[in-house]
Amino acid sequence: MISVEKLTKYYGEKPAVKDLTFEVKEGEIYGLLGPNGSGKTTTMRILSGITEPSSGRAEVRGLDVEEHPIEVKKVVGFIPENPKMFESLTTIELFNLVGSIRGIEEKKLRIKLNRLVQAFELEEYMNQYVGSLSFGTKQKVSIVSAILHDPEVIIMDEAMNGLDPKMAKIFREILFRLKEKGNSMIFSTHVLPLAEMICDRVGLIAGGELITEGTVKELKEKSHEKDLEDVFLKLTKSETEVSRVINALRGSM
Amino acid sequence: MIDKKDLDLVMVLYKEMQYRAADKDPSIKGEEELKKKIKEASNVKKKMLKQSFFFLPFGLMLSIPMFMADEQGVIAAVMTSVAVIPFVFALYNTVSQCARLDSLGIFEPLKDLPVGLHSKQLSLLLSFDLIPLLSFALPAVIYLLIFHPLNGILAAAWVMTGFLIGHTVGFIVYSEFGFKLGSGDSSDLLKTVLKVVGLVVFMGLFFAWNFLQDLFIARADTILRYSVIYPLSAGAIFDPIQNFIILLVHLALIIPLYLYVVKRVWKRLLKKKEVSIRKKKTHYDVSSKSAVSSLLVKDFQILFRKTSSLVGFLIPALIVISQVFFSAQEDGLTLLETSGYLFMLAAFNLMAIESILSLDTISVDFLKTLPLKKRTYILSKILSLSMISITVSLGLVGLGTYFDPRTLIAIPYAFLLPVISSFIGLSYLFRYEDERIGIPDFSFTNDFLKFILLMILVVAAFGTIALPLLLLPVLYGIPVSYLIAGSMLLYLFFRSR
Ligand SMILES: Nc1ncnc2c1ncn2[C@@H]1O[C@H](COP(=O)(O)OP(=O)(O)OP(=O)(O)O)[C@@H](O)[C@H]1O
Ligand SMILES: [Mg+2]
Repeated sequence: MISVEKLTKYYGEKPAVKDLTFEVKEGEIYGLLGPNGSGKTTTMRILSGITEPSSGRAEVRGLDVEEHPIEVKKVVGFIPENPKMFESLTTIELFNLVGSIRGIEEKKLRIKLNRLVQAFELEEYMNQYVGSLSFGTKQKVSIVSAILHDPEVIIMDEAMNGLDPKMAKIFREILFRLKEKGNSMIFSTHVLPLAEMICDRVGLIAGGELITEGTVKELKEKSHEKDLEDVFLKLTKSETEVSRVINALRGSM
Repeated sequence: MIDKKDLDLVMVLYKEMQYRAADKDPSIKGEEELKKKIKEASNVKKKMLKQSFFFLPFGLMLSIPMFMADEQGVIAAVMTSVAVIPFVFALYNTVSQCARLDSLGIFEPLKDLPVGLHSKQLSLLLSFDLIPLLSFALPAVIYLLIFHPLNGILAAAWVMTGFLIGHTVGFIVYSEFGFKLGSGDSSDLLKTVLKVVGLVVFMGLFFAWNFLQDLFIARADTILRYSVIYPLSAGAIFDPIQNFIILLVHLALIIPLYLYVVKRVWKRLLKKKEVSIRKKKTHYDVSSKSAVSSLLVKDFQILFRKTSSLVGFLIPALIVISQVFFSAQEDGLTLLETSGYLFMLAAFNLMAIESILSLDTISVDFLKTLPLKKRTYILSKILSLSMISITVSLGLVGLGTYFDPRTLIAIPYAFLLPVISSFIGLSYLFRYEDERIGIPDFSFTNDFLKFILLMILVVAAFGTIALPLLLLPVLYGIPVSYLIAGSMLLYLFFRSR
């Protein structure tokens, strides 16, 4: 469904993503893990047809993201890490705009919205300006507008940010349902237990390069650790750094 | 009054503003080019000098009649019109820069910091873009200073005063007609309508006054000497003592007003946005349209909620309308005259490009996640940009018809010309090669040369369209002219594919 081959993206002289290769199959949720600034967002933006890669190839459902960005956007639903929605539109106006640009028929849009608005408990916010919504509510609006068109591929950049436990659970259930239907998903997060709960496989990247990938179980066996956090720290070579910082802090605080 | 710390902070803000705008500009490729552009834009002194230099030739053109005049009356009349320019541009720039500061959100990071924020920093920040506008009046003032020193000093003072009035009025427009978050229900619609009407009347007042005074000049030269209100007072410099007193009165009124509104605007910019929510309403209306029309609707929803962004559209319209009233009052309007004003209106509409593009500056990242082709996006912007000009043009045709019923046949111009000028302007700005959308960084005072280039392109196109009117008898010329305009539009449309 998604295939990435030697994907590289330079900002100036520094690569944000370097020779990245991985695949996501149909009905699979792939977790993208890595330290801050490791290139997760960049990778996801390229896969959503928003940013152009510098070299390498990425395909979504057989569509090259560089050659057919618009076609790619049609099949992808992208939930950005900080959505910049139109603050002076009301929630429903925003959904109507998204539905119209995506060419969703009015009848279908109504049915779809009806369900999603109920699921995400957005009814009372529909006629309120987006700019006046709380952080988590905005995140819900961003999620709904990204999955309004039944995308076959969903790319989520820290999509659970700001959701309360109940909402997070509902959203998880929705993801599992979509997965059963055969949708592919990429999911980035810093909340490792969440990755463990949701993702079929995870890829660990650091400095824009893939360090390792596999199921969480495989990674644990490979690195002889019991906890995903320890796996993460070990593989990103952050362990010694962490203990050094902690020691330094002990002295100063 | 302004210490180094203020200046440092303002420089940081100014740089941040340049960065945020340039970052969205798709014609800037790569980190290097971005850095270069920002470095260039942040060299404030050089930029101000450059800007002033660009405006100078236009200032010269405006004041040529003064250099050739030997009568005080003519000099005074020219001085009056020259003094209006800094006023209008200061007004326009103040409103659009405030809206820009707000929409780029550059104050957000400061709100939580323990730094002293003062309203004078706001004026300082805006002054970088405002001060060069003064060079529109510079040639006339210098001429007067050389040949009539005493009157020249008064003229200079009037220009500064007019500038300050424009700046202050701009602040009032921004703080009274800017976007305030509401609950989004129907009582907001009424407020929106009232705000739009209020804005039109408010801006219209100045021109109405101008127009009344113009009538006086036309009738009696002597009245000029006793003009007591700006901008006409700027022409009454040959009666120095009385004029000086009038100037003092102006300053005594405008300075306190300025100090008051600058604080209000500053508070508004720094305030966390709040909403009062009345009652919860769960009913909502789903509707699906074509991509272009949904974007068009979106533009107007935002435009009418941020009423102050309408100023970008109103200034060109009001400049033309005030002329129209003047000439209509004299001896009615002929078909040819009305057509001429339609051309003018459509060409001036290029000034509004900035307003229409800036509606999406923040949310362009959101639009980028949607399958939106650049062409679709440009088409929607062309329509948004033309819409207000078309409305005003139709009103103009209506007025013309009152004087000369034949003017009805000019209706197609009201549609064709604004669309053609918008098409030329936006196709030029979006000419970068990439299917992706973005927001070209363009503002007509900051990129004045580019603006003039666009103007030249539009004037060339309009000249071709107008040619048959000049060569053939009007009733034959008009259909030929439509034919040219129509084929031009078709050409532009198909070329953009
Ligand atoms: N627009 C940009 N211009 C220049 N450099 C950029 C840009 N966007 C990202 N980068 C750089 O690319 C690298 C990867 O950034 P990216 O946002 O992909 O990281 P991330 O893995 O998503 O980090 P986080 O966990 O903090 O979200 C960083 O070094 C960042 O500074
Ligand atoms: Mg990120």
